Amino acid sequence: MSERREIVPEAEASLYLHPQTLARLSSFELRAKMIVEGVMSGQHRSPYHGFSVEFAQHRPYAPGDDIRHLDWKVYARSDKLHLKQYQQETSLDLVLLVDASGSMRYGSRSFEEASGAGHTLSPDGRAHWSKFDHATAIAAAMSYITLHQGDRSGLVVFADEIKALVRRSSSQGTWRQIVGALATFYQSEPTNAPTDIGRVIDQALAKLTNRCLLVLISDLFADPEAIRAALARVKHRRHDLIIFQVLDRAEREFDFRDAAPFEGLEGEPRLRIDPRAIRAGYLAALGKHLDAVQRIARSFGFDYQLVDTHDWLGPPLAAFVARRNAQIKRSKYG
Amino acid sequence: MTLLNPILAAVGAACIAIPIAIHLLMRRRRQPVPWAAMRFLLEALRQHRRRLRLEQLLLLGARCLLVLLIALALGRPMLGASGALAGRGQTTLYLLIDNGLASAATDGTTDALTRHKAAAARLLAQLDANRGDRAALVALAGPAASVVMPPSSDLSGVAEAVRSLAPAQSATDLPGGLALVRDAIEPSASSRSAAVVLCDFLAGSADVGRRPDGGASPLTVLASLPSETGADNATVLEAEPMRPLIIAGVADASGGGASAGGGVGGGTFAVRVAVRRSGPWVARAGATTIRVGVGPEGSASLGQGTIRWLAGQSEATASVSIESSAVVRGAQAAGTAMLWASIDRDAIAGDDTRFRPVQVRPSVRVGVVSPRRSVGRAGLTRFEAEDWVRLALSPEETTARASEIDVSEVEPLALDAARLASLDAAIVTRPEAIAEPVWRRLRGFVDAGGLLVVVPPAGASVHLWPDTLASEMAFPWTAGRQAREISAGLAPSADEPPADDLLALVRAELPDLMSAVRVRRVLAFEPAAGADKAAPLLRLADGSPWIVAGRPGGAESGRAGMVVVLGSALDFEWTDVMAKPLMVPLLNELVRQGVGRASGAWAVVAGTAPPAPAGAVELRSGASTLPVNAGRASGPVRVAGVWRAVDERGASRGLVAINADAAGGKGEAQARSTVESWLASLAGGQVRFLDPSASLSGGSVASGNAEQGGSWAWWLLVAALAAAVVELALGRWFSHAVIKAEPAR
Repeated sequence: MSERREIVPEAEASLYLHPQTLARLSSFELRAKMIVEGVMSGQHRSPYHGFSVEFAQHRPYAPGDDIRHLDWKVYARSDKLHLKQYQQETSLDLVLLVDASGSMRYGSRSFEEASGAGHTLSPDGRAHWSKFDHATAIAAAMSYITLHQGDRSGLVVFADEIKALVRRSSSQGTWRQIVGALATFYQSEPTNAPTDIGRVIDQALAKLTNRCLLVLISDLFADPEAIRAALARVKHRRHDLIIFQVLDRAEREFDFRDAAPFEGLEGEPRLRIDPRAIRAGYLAALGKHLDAVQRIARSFGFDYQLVDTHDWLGPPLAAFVARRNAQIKRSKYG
Repeated sequence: MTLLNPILAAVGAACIAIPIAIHLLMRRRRQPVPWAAMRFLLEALRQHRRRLRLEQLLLLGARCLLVLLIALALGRPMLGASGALAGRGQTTLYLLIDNGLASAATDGTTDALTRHKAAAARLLAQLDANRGDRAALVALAGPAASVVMPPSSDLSGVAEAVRSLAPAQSATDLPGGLALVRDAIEPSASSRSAAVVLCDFLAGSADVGRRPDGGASPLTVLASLPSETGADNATVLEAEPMRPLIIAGVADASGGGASAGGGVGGGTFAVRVAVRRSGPWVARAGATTIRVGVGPEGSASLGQGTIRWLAGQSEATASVSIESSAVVRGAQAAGTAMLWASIDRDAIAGDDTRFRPVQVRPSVRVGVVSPRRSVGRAGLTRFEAEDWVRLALSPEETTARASEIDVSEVEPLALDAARLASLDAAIVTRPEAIAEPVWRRLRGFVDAGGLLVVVPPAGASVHLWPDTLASEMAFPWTAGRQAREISAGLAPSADEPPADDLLALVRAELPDLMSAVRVRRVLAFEPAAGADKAAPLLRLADGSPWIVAGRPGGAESGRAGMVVVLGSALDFEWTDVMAKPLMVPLLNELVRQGVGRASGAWAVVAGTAPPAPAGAVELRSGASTLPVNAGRASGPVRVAGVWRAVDERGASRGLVAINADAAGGKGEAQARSTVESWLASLAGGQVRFLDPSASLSGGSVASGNAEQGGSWAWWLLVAALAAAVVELALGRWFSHAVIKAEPAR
């Protein structure tokens, strides 16, 4: 019998956020590539130049402007009416969209080795490290960074529809809520449903009233056209999006030797195949799909990162965040 | 295609199921692999489904082909005319069909010869005369004979000859048949030669104990499989009358009351019948009924007996008595009655009856050859040897028994051919007085089936006549020139009696009769140089021969006629046997049995050229005739039956019986390995067996060349090797283990 144990949020955090990962990420800040509108003051610039704390520039007065923002000192020196403009600092709203479809339950890596926390089994009793576990770790890291820099973070767990939700918040307990929700998801709501990316994006966008940084963590085993349509709606709503496409090493290499029946995790029919005979075709189909997803993401200006569950999360995630910050700086100063 | 090891081939072919079974079992044993990216597997499978199925079929086909080729190679195929022989040159087929006695063995529905003929017909049907194929036919009934030889391209004619083959009763002569084939095969011939032996190889048709000396050119033989069951068969080995001569007057007159002298005077006629059984039923107890009759086979039996077999017993002898008068009534031409002994019908019917001619005479004519005597002596001394002989043979001149033996005295000078022709036996009491020309005439008399009894002369001190006897008669015994003085009696001998035991009927009483006899002088007998050591008829107490008998040239010569020589003169200075009770039965048996045996048995086994009575120029049996040359038929007779000998005028000269060769009637099955070894020793080359069901019904002509069969096996092995290489290549290629596919980014 598989080992089952009660979920304790504090304990779950250590399962998915490896100290080495934290060490790698602690020096980075997550910045939205776009300057988004925030509801709280923060370190992110707002495109709405207003009259807040930090002065930005002057502009000539135009009839109808609020005379409360006139800079009387300039008027005294130059006898011209200018308004003072201030750069309003906004906060980052991070929304984690984590795929929990049936295909995300696949994994070929040992849970004990991947977790690094000394546990041989997952909270729901699995001995392998699934793609969902990896997605959980990514989400935990991203929300950790976000909350650490005082921004808000929220969570959407989905498959063919939204399955679980953690509202955006910058409180200290939010991180544990997010990790706890992810860690206990399959235990509470096991599902074999496939991913319906279009429907999920629509449901998520309906809940977002301000511009957010969306982080989509999924294997994206869905029709590329459906993905394109979903991303188009995200772009249309002027949200920023980071895509983490999570794949298992076995899925990427398909290095099976013996003929065996392959059984789908989302209700697909069982296939008796010789893996070596079909490997080339499989890898070609998978490569074609990955290329399509990446091309779609780039076409909308979204960041895309392919993540292998057998790799340590820290280095690639840190590299990704660093690359993203560098891009933001280049766009600001260059 | 002919398979030499069809069972191996069948088992091997069944092994085709192994790769399929492994494939199916492996499918069942695999644990399913949970997999997320099924959409890409499905897409890849959709794109490559036809190619993958083709690969799997090719791979399975290669594996099955590999197993099949190995199976065929193990089966050692020999390809026929319709197969690989086509286009490979001419084929000459030598068919050797066993139509000997054992070929009549039947399993209840079909006899072996019918099966062999059907198999031969199927083989012939595979030949193609247009391509130059030829066939020859040899009948193996001994002595083996060429029916169609040299090989003929008229295949339909050969097939007709096969159909007309009839069963014979001689033993199978496979060595002779192979010798005929060996002589017919031309070493330089371009066509391939095949010797196919169709035989059941029962113990009667294959004497595996006899091996050839070797030295013959090697010959490859393809043979039908030996019978595995054998045949329950009984054979009449012998039907021997206790007395081969019946004196008709006695038989007609007496009607009963057998005389103590030998039973010929009684109303019954004893026949000793020896039977041998063979085959699986020897292990069981059983019974065989014997019927004895006179006349043609199938005539009413006159006597009957039963042999009750114990488990494991294979030979037994029974004595059957019939009325002597019936024998006399059954006498046919020239005073010969054909006696037959028959047993219950069994698997081989041809040896269930045995014939034996019996001589029927009104009386026995005995001539005492002696010079005219002087008279004047008195008492016992007035009787000379001639008188003692006459008294012994005709003791009571006034009774009917006196007519049984007609004794007359003949002057040696008057002993011409005509006088001799009127005699059945000649008793020479003064051999020293016989001139050489008379000895030569006596030799002619003996050769014609007469009995010659020689008594030493009483008055001679030196005996030169034994030298003349030895030279003129080719007598197997020699006698000393001087008599040896002894004082001894006669004693029964522990030795086996001679083959021609003229005293057989009285041998049980001989010890009592001999005990009163004293011998004072005797000629020493020694076997002649070069002659086989034969047992004497009677011995002295010191073991030395006293009476000897033999045929001219020895017992093995098989010739008619007989010579009997006494060791002592019929004189009281030599012996007192004349005054003893032994004298009458002794001379009577010597004459009666001697005349019967000297006239010849006229019964031979099938497969030999039968002898013919003097004067006969032809043997006739139904519509068949055989010319006679120098006292024998011109050729061997293979079918049992009764032949009538006729002279130039068409008058009958007697009957000759041809009996089944008992050696060919042994029904025991023999082991395949034993037969194979024996055949190999006969052929001097390799031997392969044909499976009748697989090969012959399959309709292929075996090449008969085992090396070719072997070579086909080798070719198949090479093909199997090639299939294995192809399978390996396909397996490796289709496994895609060599295809380097980069993982997805």
